[in-house]
Amino acid sequence: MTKAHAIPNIPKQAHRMLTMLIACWLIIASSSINAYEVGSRLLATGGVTQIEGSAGSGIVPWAVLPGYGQKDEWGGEAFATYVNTDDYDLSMVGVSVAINNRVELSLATQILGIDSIAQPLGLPDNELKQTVAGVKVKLFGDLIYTTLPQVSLGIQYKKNTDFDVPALTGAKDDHGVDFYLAATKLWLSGINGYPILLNTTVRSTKANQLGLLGFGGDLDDSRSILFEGSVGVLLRRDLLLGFDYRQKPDNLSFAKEDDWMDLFIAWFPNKHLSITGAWTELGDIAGKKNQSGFYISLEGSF
Amino acid sequence: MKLENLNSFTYLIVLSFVSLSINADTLYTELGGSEGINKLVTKAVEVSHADQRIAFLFEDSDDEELIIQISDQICFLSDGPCEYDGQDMDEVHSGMEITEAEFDIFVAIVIDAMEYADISHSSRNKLLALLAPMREEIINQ
Ligand code: HEM
Repeated sequence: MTKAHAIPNIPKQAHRMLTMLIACWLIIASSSINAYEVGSRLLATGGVTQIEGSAGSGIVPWAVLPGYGQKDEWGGEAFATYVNTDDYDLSMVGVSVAINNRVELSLATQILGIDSIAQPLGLPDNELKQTVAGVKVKLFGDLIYTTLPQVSLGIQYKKNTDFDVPALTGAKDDHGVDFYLAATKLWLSGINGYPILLNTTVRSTKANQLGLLGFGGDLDDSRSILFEGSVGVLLRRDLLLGFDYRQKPDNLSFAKEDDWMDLFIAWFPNKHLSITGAWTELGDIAGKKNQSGFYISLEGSF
Repeated sequence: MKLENLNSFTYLIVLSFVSLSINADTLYTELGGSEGINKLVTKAVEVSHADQRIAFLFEDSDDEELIIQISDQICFLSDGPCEYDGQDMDEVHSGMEITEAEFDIFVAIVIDAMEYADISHSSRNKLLALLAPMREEIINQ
């Protein structure tokens, strides 16, 4: 079967190499940039990069913009994330920029290794890939300074590199668009002086397993309105402990899809680097039960 | 319940409230009293002069007066034994056209100065929570 790929097909090894290279670059860059060449916003206020490439926490996009650019400044982030569950592994790399603390543009690729099911089910591929291009616009509010939360509207355009496997599972489309509205607020005095962050995101989507298993399905081909939330506490100025919850659709009859959650800790040693570790509970994925495992993300920002 | 019991019960509650409010440190105390506040403000003003991104704003400032005024204000905000008798924030900063970015740079300097004055993470955030709402009166004036 031959098919024209709109997006170049990056082999898994190359993707891993790229991930490693970005990781090395992040570490080098983070130790050598002058403090004055970084945005003015306060440490940790850009969150980290969530798995689809937008600023947020592990699995949830927030209303914040990536990096540290304030009004009249630019900010940005480059990230590499690796998730390893019982039967799968997911690797992601991406970049994002923020213009004037108002508009975020992001681009990310995801590769899900499915060796555990490819052989037994006789699937034509042992990995699933997609590219996500995102735009997010801050509508109003400020994470810290206003009584109202910071509120942003976002779009994520997702496109599968190869549709053979998603088609076999009953997915209807190889691309889709997610819309989301996110509200995020940090209360500085929080609980006894430990700042508390709350985020609520509402998403409209047809994506199966983020879109890695295509869009829409034999069970349900309509959009789902889903809830996503995060709570966090700043244990130190540079240490954010939090919990994410993300509702998921259930469009495919071949396997049920579960809601996701994770418990994360993000460390911001300086404005150029953040390291996030998480424990994830991803439920059933493509027939494999109770997928849980670790998540590690390395990010460079300015 | 007998009236005597109720009376002693009320008495106990009042007593425990009184003792709580005596024991509860004010933020002023947590900040190290007038000494701690003076230390952090002096440091913040010093660093503001040295930071090339905002130093120009402080070029003509009367530092001695500035340190006294800001210290008084923080003392007042944190329930210390002071009255802040200065002008309103929008008047004081009018004509400066302080940007969002410059405001954040100054806040980061204040956080560093609080760390320098050995003020704990939770006390730092309690003070920041009192300063944060003033932003609207200070920027773009
Ligand atoms: C919540 C934050 C702030 C508070 C509570 C505050 C407080 C004050 C006070 C009380 C004064 C009056 C001093 C006097 O009467 O002599 C003052 C003056 C001043 N502030 Fe602020 N300020 C804040 C933010 C800023 C920022 C962000 C900047 C600049 C980046 C800044 C720069 C100045 C300057 C240059 C003066 C004038 C000093 C002079 O003319 O002598 N302030 N501030």
